[in-house]
This record gives sequence, structure tokens and C-alpha cells, in this order.
Amino acid sequence: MYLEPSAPPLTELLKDEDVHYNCENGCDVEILVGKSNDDLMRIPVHSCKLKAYPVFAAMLSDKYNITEKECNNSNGYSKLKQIRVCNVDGKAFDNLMKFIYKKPVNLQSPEMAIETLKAAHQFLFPELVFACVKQLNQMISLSNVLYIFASVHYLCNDLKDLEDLTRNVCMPLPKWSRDNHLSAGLEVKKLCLWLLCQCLAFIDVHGAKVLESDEMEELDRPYVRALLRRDSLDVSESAVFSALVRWAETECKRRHLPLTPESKRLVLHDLIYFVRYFQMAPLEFKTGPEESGLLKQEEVEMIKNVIMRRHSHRRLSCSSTCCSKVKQNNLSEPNNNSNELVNQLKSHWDYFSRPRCNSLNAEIGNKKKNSSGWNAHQFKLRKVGFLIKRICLPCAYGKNMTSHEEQMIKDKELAKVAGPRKESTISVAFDFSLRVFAFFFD
Amino acid sequence: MMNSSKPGMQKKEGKMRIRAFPMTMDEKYVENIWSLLKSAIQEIQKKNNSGLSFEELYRNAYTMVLHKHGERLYTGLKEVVTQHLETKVREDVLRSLHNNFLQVLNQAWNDHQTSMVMIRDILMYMDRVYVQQNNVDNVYNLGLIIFRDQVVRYGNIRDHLRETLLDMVMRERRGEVVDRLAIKNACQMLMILSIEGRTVYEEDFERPFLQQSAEFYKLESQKFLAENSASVYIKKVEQRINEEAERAKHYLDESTESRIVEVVEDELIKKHMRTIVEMENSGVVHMLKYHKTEDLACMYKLFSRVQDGLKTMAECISRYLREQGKALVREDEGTNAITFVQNLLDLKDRFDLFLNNSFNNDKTFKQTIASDFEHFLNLNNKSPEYLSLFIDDKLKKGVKGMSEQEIETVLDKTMVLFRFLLEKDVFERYYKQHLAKRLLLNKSVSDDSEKNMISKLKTECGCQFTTKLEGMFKDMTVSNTIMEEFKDHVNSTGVNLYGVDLSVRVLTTGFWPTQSATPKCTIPSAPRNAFDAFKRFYLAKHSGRQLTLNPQLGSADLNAVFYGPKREDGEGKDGASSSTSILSCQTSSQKLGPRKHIIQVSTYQMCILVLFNNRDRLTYEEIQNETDIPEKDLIRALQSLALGKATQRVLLKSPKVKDIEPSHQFFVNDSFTSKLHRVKIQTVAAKGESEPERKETRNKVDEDRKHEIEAAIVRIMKARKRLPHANLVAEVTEQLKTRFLPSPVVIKKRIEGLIEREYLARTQDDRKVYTYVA
Repeated sequence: MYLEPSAPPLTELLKDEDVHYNCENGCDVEILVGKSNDDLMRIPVHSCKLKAYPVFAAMLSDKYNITEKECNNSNGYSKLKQIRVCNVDGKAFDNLMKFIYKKPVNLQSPEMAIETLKAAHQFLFPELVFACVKQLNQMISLSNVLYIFASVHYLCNDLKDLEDLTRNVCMPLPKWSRDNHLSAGLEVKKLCLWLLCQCLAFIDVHGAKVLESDEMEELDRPYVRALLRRDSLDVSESAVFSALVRWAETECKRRHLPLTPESKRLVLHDLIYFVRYFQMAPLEFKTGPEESGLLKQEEVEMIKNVIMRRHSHRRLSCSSTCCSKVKQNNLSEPNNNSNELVNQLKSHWDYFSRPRCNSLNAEIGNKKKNSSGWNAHQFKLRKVGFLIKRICLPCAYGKNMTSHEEQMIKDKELAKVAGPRKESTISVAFDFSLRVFAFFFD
Repeated sequence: MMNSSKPGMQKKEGKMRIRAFPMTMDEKYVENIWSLLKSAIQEIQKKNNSGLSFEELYRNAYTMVLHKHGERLYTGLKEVVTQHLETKVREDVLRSLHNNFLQVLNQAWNDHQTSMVMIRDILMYMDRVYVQQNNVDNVYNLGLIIFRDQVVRYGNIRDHLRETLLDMVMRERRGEVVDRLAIKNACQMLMILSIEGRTVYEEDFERPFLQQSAEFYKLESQKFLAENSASVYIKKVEQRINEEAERAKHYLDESTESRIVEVVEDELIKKHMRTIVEMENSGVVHMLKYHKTEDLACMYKLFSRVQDGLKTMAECISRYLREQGKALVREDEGTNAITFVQNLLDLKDRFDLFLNNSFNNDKTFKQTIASDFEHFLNLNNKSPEYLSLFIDDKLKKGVKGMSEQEIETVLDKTMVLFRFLLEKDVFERYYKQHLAKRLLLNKSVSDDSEKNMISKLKTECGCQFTTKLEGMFKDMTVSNTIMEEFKDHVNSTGVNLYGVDLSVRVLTTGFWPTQSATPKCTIPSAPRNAFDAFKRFYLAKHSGRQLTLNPQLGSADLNAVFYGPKREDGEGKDGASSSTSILSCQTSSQKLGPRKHIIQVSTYQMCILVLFNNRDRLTYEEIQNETDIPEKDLIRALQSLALGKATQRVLLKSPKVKDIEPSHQFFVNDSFTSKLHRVKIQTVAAKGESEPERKETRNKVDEDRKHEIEAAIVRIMKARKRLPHANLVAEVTEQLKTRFLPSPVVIKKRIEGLIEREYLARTQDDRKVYTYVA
């Protein structure tokens, strides 16, 4: 059976030991590559080298339309196949060829590394992807993190449950098996995913600075969403809100919309719900969201209500029942005005009250003054988070989650929400995680 | 916040770059891409692929999947392929049902494979990423599944395909020529359609094929059986099996080979095994009888294919062999030890020949034959005696002109029979007797042969079995040395031996098969005095020993003179000698007369003949009184002297009847003539034992066994200290197996005996458990 048309026998490759990179001698294919027609590079290659890789082997097969031109070179009269590759940067493709010819690949600038990564990703070269990803990981800095983040996110776009996958920022660099063309696709994906996690981890730590940067305004909405959704982003909610406002203004300009609160709200769409209003101090909320006019009056009222209650509770140090009480009190209120906006807001209720990394720390800091031994709990809490994230991974690769597992993850979220306030809840959460741990890894 | 060190230009580029990754894709754009890919797939299916650009298609498929439209691409592909197969391919195949069906199907299959390979190539990114992530069938397998469901297994295509293939195989079995390539292609297609397994092939072709074959061969077997000849049947079956194996190898899937062969074996061999084996006038018995080695080999080869096949065959062979063996060991008038054993050896040779040439030295058969021999050899309780006699015959001096080499091979074969013997201790007893005779009467071919035989026994039964035999040899050599010393002694001291040339063998008690009570016998004075001289000499050297004269196995040479037909007696002067056990002696004396002879006789006969030096006639009673020889031995001695062959009749008897009464008279046969100067008087009844003797031997053996069993019990108990009854019996049996098979009843008796004698005791709590009493 002719199942694998692509890879020629190894012997055929070895025999062409004497073909070299950038060598016209014996070259039988020329590739015209570039993102636009006026920016084309011509790269001479040897089909015997390319045929070791499935995509190129298929590309060079006679079954498709290939321009052939006759040429005269040192070998005398011969036929030359001409192939046009769009969509790929010329130099990046040249890097790909260097890799095929086993030459050192130049990945000095992040731009080059990204372009090469894209090419390697498109043509399924796990080994080269690995090199790029490693290189890029070392180059991550404040000035380019959003750029790398956006490009890698783009490459990971087709992964299912990307959100779950990226929650685990501590994922180890995946290993891949050489010479297995069939799994090349997944290897490439795993590597990109790893880099994406590395970017997110970097952004988490430098949250405030990243959100202040100019590049922030250049991101597409989905990227902004992916950033702001994270629990572990180390930034204050007011900074999130102001970054959103900046982004919305730029977006309005891009879309030629008037700079009114209405149109800003329009471009923000659901992004407006990614600010965790309940974590704001009353004053913060007043000077930020309330004054910006982005929120409707009803929304402002409802949110303010909750914030005030929570604030007073916290001051009374009566934290044990706070959360549930707040929820109950406020769930009943919006029910009175049954308008769509409020319902939507209601659906984000949990989210609003979920603290980010920084606010959690602040609260823990407060607690520390009251009771000792919090450090241990804090440590455990992080551990819990880590474990849960690891559990998510297998689900993402197509395994069906059992209801039991789902329930556990839900419970974990719950414990996390309620966590910082009640000691007993935390210990429960931790116990639970131990059980989960045993369930998956033993 | 931008890094302040970066120039503004870079900043701008950065912004540009970030916007280069659009996250959303226009629905219209997606639609365009898909329709492009769709039409490309359709072109490929129409084989219009030469105008397509791989790079463009690959890039578009890549883009589509990257923007989360993998599912749309996948389901779209499924629809396009399904539609093509349903509307185009299936119709083509259906149209050709009765016209070139296999060719059209094969063409469609090949086209489909080619197009699927191309489609897989352009959708490679989806195949490697989307498919793997979502655990769906990869593109190629998807194509196979759709082809299987929409074409090959669709309605009557499935049935028609099966019918066509089965019909073709059937036609070929009948000898017609069919398009093998078409069958091969179809089978390969079914195999590939099974996707990592063989279900489709199995369900759509193999199972019905095997079923059909089974039916076919059921009929075929009836036809073959009707011919009523096992050898013909076997040859036909072999041919059929080869045919089927070839068929499977050449144009079915290889995995079918073992299955179809199994079906044929089942139908043609397994179900008729017994019938074939027992077929009259051609079955196994017939083949064995007429030495049809090749037929047997052929049958063996076939039967070894099926389960229990060899067993059935072996059973039949065993039955035949036992029958034959039983006939051979049956005791009747003319039973002769030599022919008895020789027949068994011939039978063994015959079956060994079959074993080697026909049965490939198969273990089953080897064991069967061995156990059969064991079975019937032990049916006759004289087997140990006969076997020993046979060996005796081969080792005796001057027989049949066989070279030592030949004797060696015969003995080797005999050892095989010996192995089958259960009562090895009985054999030992007889062998000892026969060996003693050979040694003492100097009848052995050569010491080497004897020693050889003993080493064979040693390897077979261990040194315990042969220590006594070896002791006998040692006695012989020691005796030789002593005799030399004695001769020197005689020469130097001038001891008077009364003219007797004395030769004494000193035998250790216990090694030799002597009767417990040494029979009395009055030795004539001359030899007795000579013996006394020796006795003095010997005892001087070995004080504290006792020498007893044992006349049973001695021999003597007598000079005798016969005075023609006239009555004159020959007389002999003679000597005898003895030792702790037996002795033999040679005497020589002188006598004048017309006819001189040297007569070789046993010690007893010597005693009798010397009496006639003084008297002319003696009655039996007188002889008995004067010589004191035990009745049995006397009768035997007289018989051989007076009633043996005409040329050996030294004495005459009146009245001339066979029986010997106390009043019967004996006198010297003066007219004795012989061509030979040296006459050897053969002892009557040398071959085999008489019935009473046998009984005696048996009793002795039983007595010995008692001791051996007791010894074994004590040995085991000493080691184990404590043992339940059943285990003890088992261990005793195991230990004595090499010598004989003790019956549990006897063992039980011995245990009781030992308890009485306080070697063992029953435990308090469990009377079935014994302990060793130290």
C-alpha cells in the first residue's frame, strides 16, 4: 500500500550527500517566497533534501500543477521546477531551508524568530519550532512580550479549550519524538502552547507595566480578553479599567467611531465585564468606572451596593459569612429589575468577586496581622491551584471529563472564591486537592 | 510602557506587527476558502488534478484550521467524499454487477485510494493537528470507512462480491482457470478496509469462505473414504492441504492460510481419524505388517497436524504392538531363551525402524513403544531369566562365530530390553549365577566383554547393582595370584600334591551365588590331600579365614583308558580342590591302554568315576553312599555320564531306562569311542532352570526383597524422622523402582515387622504416621 507517499527511502537521501545549501549545482527546484508579490525571494533548493519532509514531498509531487522552466547552468541543460510560496516571510523560509540543509539557523531578533516559528509551524517542523520557542523564551522582555504573546496565541488559536490549557503557567517544556511525522502536528502545537504559557506567566508578573504599554492598545479584542480573564494577573482593578478605556479609545479611532462612552462600550463589548469590580475600594470605583460613564446607571448602583457592603464587612473583620451573604443579598436585588443588562451583569457576579493574584495577596497580608500560620496556607493554596490546572490538561486533548471531575473542579473554584476568608474552607479545599491528586497521578 | 532605549521607529514596527495577527475571520472569506478546497477535492476525484496548486490548497486548509474552522473542513470533506462515492462510484459498480464486476470494483478502489492520498496531502495540517486533537479518524481512514460503507458493503454489492469470490475459488477447486489477480486485489482491498485489523475481510469473505470450504470438504471426505484405502486417502488429503495453502498464500490474505488449512484438516483428518487408522487392509496395522514405511511417514505427517491425531495413531500402533508382543512372550513347550529374546529384539528393531523412518523419532511414539514393550515383557515372569540366559549365550566362549563388535551391538540392544524389565533384581540373581558359571568354568569369551557388560549394567542401575559382580571379577584375579604363589611354594618346598595339578579359586562369600549350605561330598583322597596342602598354605598366609570346599562348580580332567569292546575299565586319577566357596580342579594322571582319552568332567562326576577304579559295577545306592553327593546333583551327574550323547557315554547302565532307581547298576563303557582325544561331558539340562529350581530362586528373590524393602524403609525414616504411611510407601516404591516394583501390601508388612522390632513406632495421635526410633 502506498500510504506514505512523502518520505523517500533514506538511501536516496544519503546518496545526495554532496548537495549543499545555497548551491545551484544540482538544484532542481526554485522557490519564490514572500508575503507579497513585490517582495519575493528566490531560493534554489534540491528536491532530494526537501522530500524528507511530508509537506514538501507532497508539494513537489507531479500530481499538482508546477511551473517548469528550462534553464542552462553549469550542469548543462536541465529542467527547473518553480514553486511560489505565499504567506511566508522570505528570510524565515530561508531559515527553514537552512534547517533542512542542517545549517545553523539565525534567530537573533524576535521578529525573525517569530517569522521562522510561523513558517516551521505551517510546514510542521517540530524540531525547528523547538529551537524558535526556546530562543523566544529567552528573549521575552517587556518591550516584546505582547508581540510574542499575540503571535503565539495566533498559532495556538485552533487548540481546543485554550483557556484551560493556558491556566497552567508552570508547564514543563514538552519533549517530542524525532522522525515521527504523524505526530508532528501535535508536537508543534504543544511547543507553541508552552511558549504561550511562558508569555502569560511573564505578563502575570509584570501585569501593571504590560497593561500600561502602548502595544496593549494594538491588540485585537480576543487577545485583550485572554489577558484580562486571568486570575493570576498581578495588577490592580483600576489599572485594568484604565487600560480598557485606553484600548477602547484606540479601537474607536481605528473603527472611525466617535469617542463617546456609548461607542466605547460598543467596541468593548463583553470586555467590560472582565474588570473585577467587587475587588475595588469604593473610592477607586467612584473615580474610575463610575466617572467614566461606561457603565449604565443601574449597573453602577448594583456594583456600588456590593462594594459598600463588602467594605464594611471587611472592616468589621466578620469575614466568615461575608461572601455568601453578599451574594444572597445582591442576587435578590437585581431580580426586581428584570432587564437584560442586569441579567448579564448578574451572570458575571461570581467573576466580579473573584480576587486576582494581587488582591489575594493584599488580603492575605491583612490576615497575617491577625493570625499567624498564614504563610503555610498561602503556600498550600497556590499548590492547590497548580494541581487543579494540571488536571485540566488531559481534558483539553479530547478526553471527556466525568461529572465527578467536573464537580471537583467546580468545588475547587468555589473553595478558591471562599478561600481567603475562612480558614476551615481552605483546609477543605486542600484535602480535596490531595484526593484529586491521588486520583490522577497515582 | 515601552522601553525608553528603543527608538521610535522600532515602536511603530512593533505596533504594525501585532496587528498582523487577525483573530477573527470574515465568514465570507471562510466560505470562499472552503469552496476553493471543495472544488479542488472534486477535481482530484475527477482526476483533473494537474491544474491544482498544492501550496495554495495547503495554505488555505492551514488557515481554515488555524481559525477554528477545522470541524467545518472535516465535515465538509466527509460530505464531498460521501457524495462522490454515492453518486458516481457506487452507480458505476452497481451497473457492472454482472459484467466485469471485480475489475470495475478494483478500478474504483484504486482511484479512490489515489484520490484519498492526494486529499490527505493537501489537508495535511488538518490531518496532523485537528484530527489528532479531536480523536477522529484521519483523512485516509475516513476515506476507507466511507468507501467501505457506501460501496463495498452497500446492499447487494456486498453479497455479490462475496458470491463472486466464493464462486471463483470453487471453480478453481474444480480445476477451472480463474482470474487469480482479481481475487487477490479484492482480498487486499477488504484487508485494507478493515483498518488495523481484519474485521471486514473476515466478515465479508473469510468466514463464508471457510464455511463453504468446510462443506466442500465434508463431501470430499465421503468421496475419498468410499475408495477405502488409507494410503490413497492420505495422499489425496495431503494434496488438498497443499492446494489450499498455496491458494491462501498466492491470492488470499496470508492470515487465511492457517485457518483454511485447519478447516481442511478438520474435515478430512480429524473427523475421520479413527476410520482411516483402523481401515482394514490399508490402515495402520496393514502398513505395519507390510512395512509401508513411506505411507506411515505420510500419515504421520498429516496426523501430526491435528490435535489428538498422533494419539489416535499411537493407540492403534500400540494395540498392534502389544498383540505381537504378547504372542512372542507366551510360554509354551518350545520356549527357548535365545529365540525368545531374539524375537523381542527383532520386534524392537522393526519398530525402531518405523520410529526413525516414518515417525521422525516422535516422542509420543517412542514413549508408546517403550511402554508397550514394558507391558508385555513383564507379562512373562521368566523374562529376567531369559534375558540373562541370552546374554550368557552371547558371552560364552566359542559361539556362532560372532565378532566382538557384533556381540557388543547385540548386547546394546539387549540392554534396551533390560530397561523395560521391572524385576531387575531377579535378573541380577540369574545373571550372577550365569556369570559365576562362565567365570569358574572358564567359558567367558573375554574379560573385556564381561566387563563391558557390567559397565553397561552399571550405567543403567548404578554401582550398587554391580558391586557384587565386580567382586566376582576381583576374586578371580586374586585367585590367579594366589595360585602362582602356591606353585612357587610347591616348587620350593616340594610339598607332595599326589600328582594332581591343583587349581583353586578362593571366592568371597556373599558375592557368589552359592547355596547357603555347602553340599557334602566325599572327595577322593588324592585330590583331597592336594587341597589340604593348599589349605595349609593359604591359612598360613591369611590366618583367621575359613576355607570350605564347594564341589558344585568345579571341574576335573581325567585320563582314561578304554580297552576296546572288551570289558576293561578306564580309570582316572584326579584331583579336586576347593576354597571358601567353590572350587574347580584339573587333574591329570596316567594310564596305559589302547585308547587314551582325557575326559573333562565336573567335580561330582570325578568322584563317581574314581569309584570305578576299584569296582566294576556299582548301584546307584552304593554310589550315593560312597560319595555323599546330594541326590539331585548325583542324578544329574549320572545322567550326563550314562544317558548323554552316545559319544559321551562313559558309563553304561542297566536296565537301560531313563529313570534312575536306587537299585540300578552302573558300569564303565569299555567300548567308549570318540574321535576326540579330549572329551567334554556335557552336563544335562544346562539351559534354563527346572520348575522347582525356579521356585527356589523366586523364594530367594522374595527373601532378598524383604531385606531391601526394610533397608529402604529404614533409610527413608532415618532421614525423615516422621512420615505418614502413604508418603512412606511412595518413597520406598520410588527408591526401589530401579530394581523391582514392590507391592504396597508387602511394604505394609515390612513396616509392621519393623515396628515389632522397634525400628519404627506409630505416633500417638495418628496411627497412620510413623516415627523413626533411634
